[in-house]
Amino acid sequence: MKSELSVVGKSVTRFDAFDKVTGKAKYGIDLKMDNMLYAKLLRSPYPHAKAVKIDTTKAESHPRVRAVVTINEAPKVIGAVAMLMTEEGMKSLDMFDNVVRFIGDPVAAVAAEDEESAEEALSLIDVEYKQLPPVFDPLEALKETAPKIHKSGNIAFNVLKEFGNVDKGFRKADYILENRYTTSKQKHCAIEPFSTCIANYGLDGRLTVYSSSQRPHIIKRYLAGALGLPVNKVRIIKPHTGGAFGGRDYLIHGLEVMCSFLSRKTGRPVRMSFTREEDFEATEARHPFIIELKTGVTKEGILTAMSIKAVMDVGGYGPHAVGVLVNAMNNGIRLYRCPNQRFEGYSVYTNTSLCGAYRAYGNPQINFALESQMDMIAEKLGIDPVELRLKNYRGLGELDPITGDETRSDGMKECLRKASKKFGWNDKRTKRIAEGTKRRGVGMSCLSHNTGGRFSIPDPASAIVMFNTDGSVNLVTAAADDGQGNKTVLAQIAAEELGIGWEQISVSDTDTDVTPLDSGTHGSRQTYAGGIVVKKAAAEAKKALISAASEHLNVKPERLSIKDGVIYDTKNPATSIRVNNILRMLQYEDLSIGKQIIGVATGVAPSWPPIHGANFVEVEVDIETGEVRVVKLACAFDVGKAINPAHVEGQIIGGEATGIGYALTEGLIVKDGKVLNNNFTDYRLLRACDMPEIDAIIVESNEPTGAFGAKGVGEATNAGTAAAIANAIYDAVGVRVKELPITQERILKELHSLK
Amino acid sequence: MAKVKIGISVNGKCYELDVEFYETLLNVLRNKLGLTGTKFGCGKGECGACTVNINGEAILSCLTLAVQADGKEILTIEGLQNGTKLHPLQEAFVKHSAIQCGYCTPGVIMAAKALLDCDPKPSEETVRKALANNLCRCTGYDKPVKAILEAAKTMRGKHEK
Amino acid sequence: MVSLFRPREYYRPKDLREATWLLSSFGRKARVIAGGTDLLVDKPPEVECLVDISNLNLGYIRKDKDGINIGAATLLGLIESSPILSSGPYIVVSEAVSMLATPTIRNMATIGGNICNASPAADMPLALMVLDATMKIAGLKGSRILPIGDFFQDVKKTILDDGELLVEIHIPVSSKNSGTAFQKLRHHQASVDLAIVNVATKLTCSDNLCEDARIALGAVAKTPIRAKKAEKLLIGKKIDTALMQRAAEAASEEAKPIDDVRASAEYRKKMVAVLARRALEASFKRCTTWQK
Repeated sequence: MKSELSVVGKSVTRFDAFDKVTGKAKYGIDLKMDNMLYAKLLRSPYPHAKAVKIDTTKAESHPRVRAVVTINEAPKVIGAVAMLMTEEGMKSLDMFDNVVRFIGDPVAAVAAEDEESAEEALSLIDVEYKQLPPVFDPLEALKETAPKIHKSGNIAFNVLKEFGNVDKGFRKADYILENRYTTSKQKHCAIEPFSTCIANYGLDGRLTVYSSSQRPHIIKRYLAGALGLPVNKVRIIKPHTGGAFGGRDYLIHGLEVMCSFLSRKTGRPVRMSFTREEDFEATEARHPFIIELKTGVTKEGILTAMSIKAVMDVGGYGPHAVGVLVNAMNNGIRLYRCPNQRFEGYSVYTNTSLCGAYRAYGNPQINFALESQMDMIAEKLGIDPVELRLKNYRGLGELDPITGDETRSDGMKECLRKASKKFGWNDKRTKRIAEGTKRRGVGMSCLSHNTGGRFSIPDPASAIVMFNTDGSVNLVTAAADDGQGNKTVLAQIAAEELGIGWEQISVSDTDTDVTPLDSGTHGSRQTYAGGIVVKKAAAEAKKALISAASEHLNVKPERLSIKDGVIYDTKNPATSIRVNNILRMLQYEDLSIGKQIIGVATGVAPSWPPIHGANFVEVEVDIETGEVRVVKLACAFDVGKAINPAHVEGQIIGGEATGIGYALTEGLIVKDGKVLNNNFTDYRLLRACDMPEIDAIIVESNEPTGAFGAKGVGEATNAGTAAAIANAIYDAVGVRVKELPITQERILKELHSLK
Repeated sequence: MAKVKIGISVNGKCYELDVEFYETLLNVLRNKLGLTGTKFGCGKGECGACTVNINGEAILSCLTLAVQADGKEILTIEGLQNGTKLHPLQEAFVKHSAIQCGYCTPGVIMAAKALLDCDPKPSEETVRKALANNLCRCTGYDKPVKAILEAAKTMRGKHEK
Repeated sequence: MVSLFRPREYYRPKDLREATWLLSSFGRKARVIAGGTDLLVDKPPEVECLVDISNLNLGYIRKDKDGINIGAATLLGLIESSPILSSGPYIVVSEAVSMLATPTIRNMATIGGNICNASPAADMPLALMVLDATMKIAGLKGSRILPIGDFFQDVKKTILDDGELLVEIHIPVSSKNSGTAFQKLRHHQASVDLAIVNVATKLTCSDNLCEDARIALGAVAKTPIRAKKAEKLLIGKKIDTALMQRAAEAASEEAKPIDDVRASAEYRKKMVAVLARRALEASFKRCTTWQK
């Protein structure tokens, strides 16, 4: 980037800031429609049962109830989003059966004139359950003798990939290390509970759904299929969203589907909202993994072989049973250069609440294993942990063995260098501060995270750029902004490409009737994949403008350039026309022309460039209580180009807070299929007074395929924290915990056994 | 259903309402007065999304019965701005990019307002403690805290003038 | 049928007579509401009548020659910032309150509400126990005074009869050569949390000789308890590190914690010893500091 950028790279104010800060912004639960009904779900009290008989007559005769729908009429949705490729694939996502597969699995839904009546009506529905033997442990579920949760068995998906020959590779190793790691069921805990959908099925057969789904176009297609409608008859409108983090990546179990069916039955709009307890107990959570990691290294610290065996607990249904496991594989294999690698993975159903997409989608799990192990290797070989990473990570020019994708931008070295310097890594490593019962230690980790889902899921992006008569622009995109600010960032990219000021661009809301096909907001893809099409669309609009100016000025388009609102002949600058003049002429004044100057772009991104990152953590461990406190954290992320640096910083610090929670304080506690900690007292998020000192460093490696060099950042920021913390704890007190979350009880137990 | 008449002042405007005894102030604000800026996050006082100011104090409206608010002055996020002029806290949040999804923002700002009204020069530690009841999953609290400290400065400057 | 919190009646009595009469009439179906921060979380479905005590002038902190009197409807936030309760041997009170919930909650919740909620893990009662506080309870037939140790019966159950109302907490004068302290163990990286274990202690010493000792333990039994055997180990002896350690271990023996979603019984028992020792050490330090 030689030329000076005027909008990209600036921390401009996000478009929705004013509405949000004044309370004007409407989120799902703030919306009301005339003649609206309120819906509630009846949920199974059993982890595994057949709802043999569902008698809704009493509920239906409640004076304020208008409709009841059961799982015999409305399908449950299973299967991977990746299966939405064909119509048959989509049909296979529908499940009509009367089996409930986790405590909280919906069995019926009621729509009533008010919420209280809907709640009352639920207790009037008589369900005769035939309990089936449940299985809660994925390793148990893998056994031949385990009860079958789905007709096809308990394995939702499995994958095996091998490159080179791991057995040979292990024979070449000087040192082999084998460990098992387990991770927890983290909950998104968006402050707006995962809830609220309003479905309005009109008499004209059009279904309009207000949903905060991260993938409006995808759920549009699915709902059309489920209701037997052509896709044009479904419209998804996205209101403001109070956080998603992957939990709204697709449909919410029981929500949009049941709501739509209730609306069709009643002919009235229906709104359903979940309580915070329902959010904890019955909406998607991060997949727990059991990972067996075997690594072989030479005594110089070069990896010779890596074998990963992963069992992923899917819960009762697997909307992301394929995606998350494959992404764990992709990122696990790609991070380090190793001629012999093997990944064997199983997605396994259990009778617990369903799991789904969650920020970094399989990568935090595999990273915890890899980076804990690398730390052990570094210690064994007496190599600086940073050096070990530098020696082995896959960098510039290297290919992802699974997809063949080339790494075209590499910020890893800079991330490691800058973060370790800011942290004071070398200095802190030589000092082991011990005061009273407190012991300090330091640890680090690195990571890479694929931007977007180019090679694993349907990943189209689209954008439309429309000129107004005065030269200002409207950008139309279906990007679903859940708080990350992607609408603003995409507008910055468009404005920069068009050479217009920030004041001169606006972005549309997300409405599938109007905003073209886009895979949505997930996989850290909008700045990258969305940015690419936005830049293209802007270029197309510019081209159309220049083409029209060329005709008007009678100058070949190649000779024309735009600067400061003027289109001029570069060979003869006096020949020119102001942008707003030509636009006014084309769009308004000349009665014989009258057209919209517009640019459209659509397609997939060419790559999924790795976002590199590094985390350096200092912890303090109390050897009497086992308590851990994160004292300081320095981290760096290579985003390619920070389109909006303040947004990037916000993502980094917010992501790290989630990462620290993943390491130390969070995780659903499930006993016999029941979630025991369904509230914020027993499921602890970090609060403002819990945050350590965080240094967030932005690295820009300039990704050539990205708009102005940009990749992404959203997910990477919580993918590496857990290992860094586990490594720091080991440094402080010599205790190695391979299970998340790392609890104080566990640390104390290990400390005692060390004595 | 047993109802009672209450008189409350919300954002400087007086209302006479019929409320149930069990109705929370949060419900009244959102569903009876259409002031949806104050949010529902948990209903148990743990997340702070429902924070408003009553007689100048930061109060959780989901843990306040409407009847308890009878005769009191309530300030919600909608009442913070002065016509088209934003309150210094709101301006600072916008300026510092302290808003992401924005769902916790009204509660955080109302908690901050109550703090700054009684402690015009808080330390960072005091600000973070004052936000102890306000959960945020997006920002990691860093920019909101910076915004509050800057707003405090601005407000002190205005006062000194 | 669905059980929802649906009180049909609400009163704001202007005097104790009216309040106790209402509570008496409705018996089990009445609930006192002050701050509402426990009641509106629990939302008990059997409640038909709410008795709002905000007009009874029960919000005060007064010191006189006999000690300190705190009205039951005093906000926890005022207790935290009260100079009377943040100094001398009474510091354990503000210390305990400052670690309770959040500043926002402390600005809504009352000391009476916190005590009458009778959570086994409550922070405040431990501070009051080591200061030998007494509870003044008003009823239709008049008032009675109880030592705090007799106030808690079981998990979330106090000794209050139907129709009775806690109106005042009295803290008797503590001798100047006393030091008190409070310790609370939370989950790590969480500055807002219920106690996994909490401990309050008081030592009264002259020249390192222990004249009196109090150790109160929380979250390790159905109610807050006194570790009386541990206290006896200290009284009459010369205080040193080894003795405080032994007393702390003895306190741990007296704890009867359970396993729950928050912690294991085994861990809690171990932590009683750690926290009791830390609290005793801090008490002892304060004890000797006041004497200077």
